[in-house]
Amino acid sequence: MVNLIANSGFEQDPITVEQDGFWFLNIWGTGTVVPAQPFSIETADVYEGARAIRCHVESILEGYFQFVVGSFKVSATALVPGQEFQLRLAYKSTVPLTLTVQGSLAGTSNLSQSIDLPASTVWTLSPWLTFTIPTEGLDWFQFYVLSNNQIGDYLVDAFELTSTVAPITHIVTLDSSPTGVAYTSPIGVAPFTVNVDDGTSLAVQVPSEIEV
Amino acid sequence: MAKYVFDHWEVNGVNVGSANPTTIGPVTTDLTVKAVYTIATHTVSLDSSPSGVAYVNPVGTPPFTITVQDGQSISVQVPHEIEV
Repeated sequence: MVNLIANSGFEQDPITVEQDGFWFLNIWGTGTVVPAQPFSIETADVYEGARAIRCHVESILEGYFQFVVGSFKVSATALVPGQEFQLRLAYKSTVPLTLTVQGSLAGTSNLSQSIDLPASTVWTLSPWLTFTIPTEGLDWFQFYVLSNNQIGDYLVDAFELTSTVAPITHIVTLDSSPTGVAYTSPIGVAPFTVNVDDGTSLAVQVPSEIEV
Repeated sequence: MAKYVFDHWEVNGVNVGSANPTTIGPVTTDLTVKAVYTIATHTVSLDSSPSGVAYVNPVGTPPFTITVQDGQSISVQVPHEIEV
């Protein structure tokens, strides 16, 4: 299944610039928290790849805070109205977390679902948070994980957002004249077949010269 | 062995161009993609000394050229004697 989240494991820089793969690392609330910037890129303790995001809160001196890792950057065209999707992540946390999806159309909220994630001292794949895009569609969508005014650490990595609907695939037969040409993309000797998801494209390449 | 040169792509029998690599799609149905090659050709120049000898095979008066497919042989023949 295709993961609709770009830069889903924080592997590419920049992480928090507004472009595909944009993540927000936010502190929602007012008061005084130590450190003032609790988020960092973690490279020593990750679920997969080379990086994760760490949120480290030493103390909350006053006020109430939510410490949030989330993103808006899911292709709006991919969130098909009426279709069911699922979201999960890998996490390791000394504090309980909440995973949330939210959406709206013309300023009116029409999607809001959450699941609670218990603290876990080892990397854990969260359960899927399953939700259905409203039939009227969305013009705004975000998902995030947060801790509620908790002192401690959490690490997040490997977000996945996928459709629960199995994609329709088509059989593409790759042939040549004369037969027997070794394609360089996709790799195979003609004639051979590949499966292609509906609506996607296929890059093809063959040698410019052959000897038969 | 003969050398072939890539010529064009066909999708379900229709010529869709000669870019290589290229992108097929968006794919919305089963289909067949075919890479079509043509046999490579070479230009053979036929000349004579003195110039102007009419070749018997292939027929022509030098200097002239013929196109030969890669790997093929050609037969050449000129008059045994000429007067210039």
